[in-house]
Amino acid sequence: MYGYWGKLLRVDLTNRVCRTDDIPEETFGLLLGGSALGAKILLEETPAKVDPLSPENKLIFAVGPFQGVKFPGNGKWSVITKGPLTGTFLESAGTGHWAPYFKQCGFDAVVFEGRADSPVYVFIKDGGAEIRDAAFLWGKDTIETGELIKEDLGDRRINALNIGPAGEMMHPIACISCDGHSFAGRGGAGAVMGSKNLKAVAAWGTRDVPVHDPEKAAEFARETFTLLSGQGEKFRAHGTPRVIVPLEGIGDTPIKYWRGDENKRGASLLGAPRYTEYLKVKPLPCINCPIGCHRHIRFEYPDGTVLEGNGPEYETIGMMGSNLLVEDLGAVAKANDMANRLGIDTISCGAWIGFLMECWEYGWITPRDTGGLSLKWGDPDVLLALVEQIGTLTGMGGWFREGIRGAAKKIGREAEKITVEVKNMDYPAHDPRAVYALGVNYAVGTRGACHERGNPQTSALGGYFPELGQDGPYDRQTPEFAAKTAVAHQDVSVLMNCMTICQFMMGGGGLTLTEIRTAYRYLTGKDVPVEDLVKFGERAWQLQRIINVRDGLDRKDDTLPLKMAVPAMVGPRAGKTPTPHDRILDDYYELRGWDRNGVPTRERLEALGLGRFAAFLP
Amino acid sequence: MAVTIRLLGLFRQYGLPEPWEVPAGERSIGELLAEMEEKAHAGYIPIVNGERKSKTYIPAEGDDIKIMPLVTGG
Repeated sequence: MYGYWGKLLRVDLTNRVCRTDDIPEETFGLLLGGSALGAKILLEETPAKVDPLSPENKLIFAVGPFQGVKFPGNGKWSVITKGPLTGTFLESAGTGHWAPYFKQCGFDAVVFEGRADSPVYVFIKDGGAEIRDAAFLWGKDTIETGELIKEDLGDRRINALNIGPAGEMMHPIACISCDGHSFAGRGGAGAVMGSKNLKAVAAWGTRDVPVHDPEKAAEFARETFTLLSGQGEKFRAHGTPRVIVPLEGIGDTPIKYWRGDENKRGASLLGAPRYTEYLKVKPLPCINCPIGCHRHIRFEYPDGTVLEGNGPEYETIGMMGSNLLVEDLGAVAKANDMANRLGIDTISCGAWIGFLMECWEYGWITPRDTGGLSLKWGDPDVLLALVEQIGTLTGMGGWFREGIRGAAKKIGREAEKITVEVKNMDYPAHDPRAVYALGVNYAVGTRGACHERGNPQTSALGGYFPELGQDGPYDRQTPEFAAKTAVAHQDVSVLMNCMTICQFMMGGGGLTLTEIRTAYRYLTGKDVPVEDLVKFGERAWQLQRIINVRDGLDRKDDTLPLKMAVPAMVGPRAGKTPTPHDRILDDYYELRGWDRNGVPTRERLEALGLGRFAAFLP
Repeated sequence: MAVTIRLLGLFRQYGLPEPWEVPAGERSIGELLAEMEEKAHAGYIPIVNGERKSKTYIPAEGDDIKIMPLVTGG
């Protein structure tokens, strides 16, 4: 078998035992790896509706075929589990330096089972793993934890995925950090780690993955790296903050918790090129990355304190800046740093603050609730105070123990009508009224509202897939194109999460599906036509949906928040809404081969080679 | 003869004509778009007749040319 080890590491935390299982070659032939492999394990090994924070839940880290060789963007890894925010399937992905080191230990995935009776961290190495005491790490933030593990293991090259204090307290939006600048951010995978008393997963391996044609694979990787480095030069200069201004220009960026229509001034203050100069930015690349979209910043505040480290990305600026009408980039950078160190998702955190500000505006919460704090739009001090409260689940933050739905229920009045989420996962910083495909993409998201498993917002910037027969991006505000745009982008982005290659290699560097096909052929000896490659993405998606359906989710949960049916009065979204949602949903179900209730049909599953998984459907 | 170049997404915000007609067989795509690339702070790939080409490609009669920006966010 080339490109894979065919090995799964199992770590039984309850009994502190590690063992290795075989993964049959046909599993990779059907599912590729990463996201799909994790979904299969989760489906087969956990019962329906398992409590995400119970020992019975499993926590799976999986990579794809490219991690053991040099290939652009292969710093990616996926974590798959039942998530505490939605109560169903969760996959979250991160980058950094961990993934290739893990793969070179001789494994394609690791499954954590049970719960340790005291804090531990796990060190995965060539052919096995060691469960180590983590009492000295408990309570440390994500950046300190990474450094302390390097010291403990006596090797600064070793990287550890880890959780901060939020993960330890099983916070519903706790993330998993890698290298202090990449995060499996959404849905609370960090809380699952915390529930297992698992503080970190370090990896350092030295094994060479078998490659079908090592010479050609290496040469092609070098050529592709050079090509993407050249094509991605401009993107490297400004990173994702580059798109703040143009996306505001088409009405895509959230403003005032999805009620504002325009924010040109805010966008120009928060986005690049000002961002790049103001925060003294340098690119911060992950391993084997020809682009380096992450930002290293150095900013001196008026009081003389200096913030140096990871800078906010587009999503954080969108949700903690524009969404709250905060224009102070220094405050957004500080809020980002606080959230990252505590280990919480900056997207949901920004959404929750916007929600609280709106409730304050309506008088649904009062100074008695806020401890005297006035939750005024645009106030950077309020932003920082609420990040602290939310990140520690104290004060108003304590209302969010079960996510935004729980907080809305507690606040009462009409609060449940103003939330902007799907399946309890808050919308990220892209507005479906600007790109209709986002409405259905979020609605059917297998982990809730997600812009990375399906990223049709890229079509608004001009992205499309000529190799899949497209003649150009579909019109972004035509309901008839919404479902097919969502399907195309979902299949490709989920394929990338099965390959575990960073999606920005495509959108930011111009990597093509044909190049992926070629690289996969040199690596594994298998030539898979592009139209079959994207079927790997669809298979993963169908497996994830089976998990959703088994957990009791269906059409009733594939919703469009009320605010999305309210058009803007002025600006680029004036008069535009991604409706009628039901009709777009019908189109989507038909394209996916699901019945009218959103359940995958046996025929479609069989056509994809997934027939045996139909047995998991209720 | 003229060739039509279609600028996609982000690049439509920079004031070039839509559609944009350029003479065939003269300047490369890189030369034609140099100014806009700087202004937009964004790279791109030319898609010519459905296939990616380099910026040194010189538009020829009958070509179908689209310019896909290389920027992404989130």
